[in-house]
Amino acid sequence: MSGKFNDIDRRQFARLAGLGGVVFASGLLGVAGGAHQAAAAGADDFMFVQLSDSHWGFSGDAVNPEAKNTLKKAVAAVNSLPMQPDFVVFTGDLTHTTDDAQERRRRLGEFRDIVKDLKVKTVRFMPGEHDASLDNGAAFKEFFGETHYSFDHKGVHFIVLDNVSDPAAKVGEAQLGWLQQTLAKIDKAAPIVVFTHRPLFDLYPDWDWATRDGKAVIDALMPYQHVTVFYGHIHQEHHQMTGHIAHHAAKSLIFPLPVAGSQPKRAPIPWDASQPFKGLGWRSVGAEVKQAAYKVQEHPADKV
Amino acid sequence: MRVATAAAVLVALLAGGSAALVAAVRDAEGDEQHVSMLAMKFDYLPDQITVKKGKPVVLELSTLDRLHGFDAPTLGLHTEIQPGAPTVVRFTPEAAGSFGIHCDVFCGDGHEGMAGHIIVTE
Repeated sequence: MSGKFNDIDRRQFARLAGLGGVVFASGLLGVAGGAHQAAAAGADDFMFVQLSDSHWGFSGDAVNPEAKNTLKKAVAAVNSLPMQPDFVVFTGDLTHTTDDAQERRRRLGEFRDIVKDLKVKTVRFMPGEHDASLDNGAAFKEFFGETHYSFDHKGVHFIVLDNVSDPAAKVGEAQLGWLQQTLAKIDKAAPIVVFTHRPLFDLYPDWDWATRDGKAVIDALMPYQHVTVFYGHIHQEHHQMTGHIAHHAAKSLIFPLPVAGSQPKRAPIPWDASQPFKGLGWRSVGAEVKQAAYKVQEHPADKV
Repeated sequence: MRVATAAAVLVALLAGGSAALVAAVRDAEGDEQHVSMLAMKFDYLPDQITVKKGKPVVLELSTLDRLHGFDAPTLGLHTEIQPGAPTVVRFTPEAAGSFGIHCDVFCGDGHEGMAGHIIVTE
């Protein structure tokens, strides 16, 4: 393999990638039998970075006395990567919630100003419930545009889903219709990546770690052979399969949360002064395209 | 701070003669168990109710401020608590134990801690 992601020293990635070190390299297309024609023809190896749950505006020294610096450190760490990603995606909770609409906009503006320092200029955003649930996404849209959309990159179809603008954690009928229309244009064998904030499956409903109508989303995605979901919300790394669909939760940039059900309440894990930034981080995702795919066609011997 | 606020609201309502809050379980001897619970940012009041297994429960939910959720996934209960009028949930607990409830309609900074329990006794 000669793609640019594979040229990077992975141990160097491990050293650089994050506050505490996070590496995740996903063979998005590396599925047996995944010799999709479009991918083979048009895709190349690439890398993107996922950051999540920065909660800009949060204050609480017991859980993060470095709250005003953590996002900035992450931006600097991404900028220091030896190979810049093709794009950066923030999977929600850019800011910490506030009832004050003016303060919400101030936080969104400050967040936007901080991430402007990223070297990579293609940056994708989506809201978390802290950004959007109290005003149905109105302030978020003023700063970052639509809350659900799709885009293509090097043969991979990316779909951004909003499961937070409805405070009841629903994707909703209108967006589900849009998703179905979007998927209808995509080959069943094409690689698809979904970005969203909440888990689409019932990770732990007792802590509201679910999407109320997430099953409808997964059902719509199920006919597609190569689907990977990246999300945030739970402030920890987590990996789960629903059928053949892989779901990967990212760490937070403000405070870690405990493992589902490991304690009575989903309270943040306190800051450990002996291990600053423990449990915080971000991830890089390498999309590795299998070039050695063969289209085999059999021919009878009696035909010239 | 939130507990103090909730207690103040309870005292105020009791002083006003609100029958709904006089007892969490109003009638445990009839055919149904009538239970009331208030929702407010960011607490349920009371945050724990106790009912008997095998006896139908009529749970009356009201909100003091805004839309809240009421989700008890292990009991299969889910509703939204709309302002303006009580929301009634009926169920019959089939097993004893402690069952978590939480608000699943995002309501602000403190939403994540808005939770409680339904205790089902034999």
